[in-house]
Amino acid sequence: MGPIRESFIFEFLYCHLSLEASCSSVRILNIAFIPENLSWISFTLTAFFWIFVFINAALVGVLMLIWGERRLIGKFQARLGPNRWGPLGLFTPVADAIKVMFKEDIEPTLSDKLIYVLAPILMVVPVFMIFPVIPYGTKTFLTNISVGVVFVLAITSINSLSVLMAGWASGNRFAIIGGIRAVAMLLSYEIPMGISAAGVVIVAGSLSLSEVVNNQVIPNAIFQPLGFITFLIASTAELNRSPFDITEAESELVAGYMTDYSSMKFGLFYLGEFMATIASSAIIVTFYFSGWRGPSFIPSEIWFLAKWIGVIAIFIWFRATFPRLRIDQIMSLAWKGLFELSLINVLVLALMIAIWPDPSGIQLLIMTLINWVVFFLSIYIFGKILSPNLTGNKITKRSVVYGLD
Amino acid sequence: MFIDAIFYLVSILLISNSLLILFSKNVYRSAVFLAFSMLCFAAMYFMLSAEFIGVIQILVYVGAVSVLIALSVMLVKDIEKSTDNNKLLYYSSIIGLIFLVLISFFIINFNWDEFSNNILDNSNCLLSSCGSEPGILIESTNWLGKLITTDFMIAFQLSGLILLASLIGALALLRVRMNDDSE
Repeated sequence: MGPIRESFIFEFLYCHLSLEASCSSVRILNIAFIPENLSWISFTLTAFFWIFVFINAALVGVLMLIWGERRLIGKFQARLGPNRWGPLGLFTPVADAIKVMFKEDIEPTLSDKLIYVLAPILMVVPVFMIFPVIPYGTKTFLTNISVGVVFVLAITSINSLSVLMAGWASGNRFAIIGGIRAVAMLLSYEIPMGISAAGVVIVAGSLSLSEVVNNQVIPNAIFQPLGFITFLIASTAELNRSPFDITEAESELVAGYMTDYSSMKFGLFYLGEFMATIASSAIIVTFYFSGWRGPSFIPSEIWFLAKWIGVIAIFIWFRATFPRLRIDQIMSLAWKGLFELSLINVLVLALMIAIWPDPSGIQLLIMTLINWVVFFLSIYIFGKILSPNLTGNKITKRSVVYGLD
Repeated sequence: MFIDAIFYLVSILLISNSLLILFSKNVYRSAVFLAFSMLCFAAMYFMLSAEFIGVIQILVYVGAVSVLIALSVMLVKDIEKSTDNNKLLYYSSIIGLIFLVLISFFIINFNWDEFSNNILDNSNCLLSSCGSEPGILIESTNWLGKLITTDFMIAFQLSGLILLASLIGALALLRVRMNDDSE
């Protein structure tokens, strides 16, 4: 029970339940009743309470995101967006959720019933696991596991399995093709995502998310722009969001792997995607916008929340602005562009950290400058190399079947 | 107490998933149960404080290898009941039995205490509390990295070489197919 007691919110509740001797300094009200030798009961109760709070906060966050996304896209497209039900249309997502729940639940005859039911659950459950490990403030986090950076990447990678399960179990050709395309895309974009996260780890010198925030003197988005851009694009692809929403490209594949899902099973996919957007934004804030750090006249949690909403707005902006890419363009962007760019980023950072293991203020500025020069140079060169492949219109069997030009 | 309860829960899940891999007729379901048992393995690693290995287990085996297995299972002719015409039943059961005997012999006869003491001694005790305290285990990632780049360097490099060879082999096979198609 050692490392978990670093967490303020955990310890606060734990000490109001348990009569443990080390707790007396934290306790404000004298309401503790569970004796010290039964500390596992107070541990379990505290854990379950916080899990309950985090899950409900995530669900409310999804409702807010659906509303905010519709309003904001409305603004982008010069229309009003939802505005009838509740103040500013705030209750629209609630009505939407109730509508989804009351729809007819259809199970296709050709489906594999067990996997068909398991797939949406596997989409939603892992995303809940990301929220407890993120540091929301100086002492506001639930757990600080020592391998946080790899943990969040690993948890987000589970959804590729869920997509493939959903695609196959539906027993529908559109669903299988959509699922296979989605898996190809998700697996490809996991690689640049992981390598750019390695850049963050090199700078922080630790895999723990709290240490990543603590050691970010200059926000990584400014310090290593190349890593930031690759991570942002790769996580947009990981989230299946526009412009990478090839898995549910209506004009080609009906709704991809979700074609045969209806009612709340479809609702779970929807929920999972939106919740993953929120979780990924929190990860990006922690990795690249220095998490809860900021001038201390505003509480650290408010700083985190403000940056969080900002990154979510960037994702919505992407969705409103960019046209969808074709599958071969998506694959060549991952393997010919982002993969090399993230490798260059890691190489440059590792070299600089090897020269200056513990950089001072002026050395940090020089490193930032070098990173920006590398950023512009490599983007220019790769743009030159890739542009004929990305704009060319020839569609061959190779491009459609293998995803290669 | 709490940890014990979770341990038994995960063990039951792990064993039942492993049995389901073997006894489900549908090959695709077997692949999915394989992924679930990999998740249970990761939970086991977490409970042994080997957090890094547990996380890598999820990242590599659940996120990538199971997905690739599930994809390749789609190439099987009759997914629903493909175990009926297995021609290698006797050979595979004999090899499995030999493997079972070998591995149980190894597990029973190996001196686990000496092995773990050796590793703890060679780790230079990164934190002050070495031994049964969890202090050393918190820094296990750091320590693992040092072990891989010093003591087990050759094994690490060789595994990388195997991966590279298989990657090049897969590319070469695909290149032949693609040239045939485009003509």
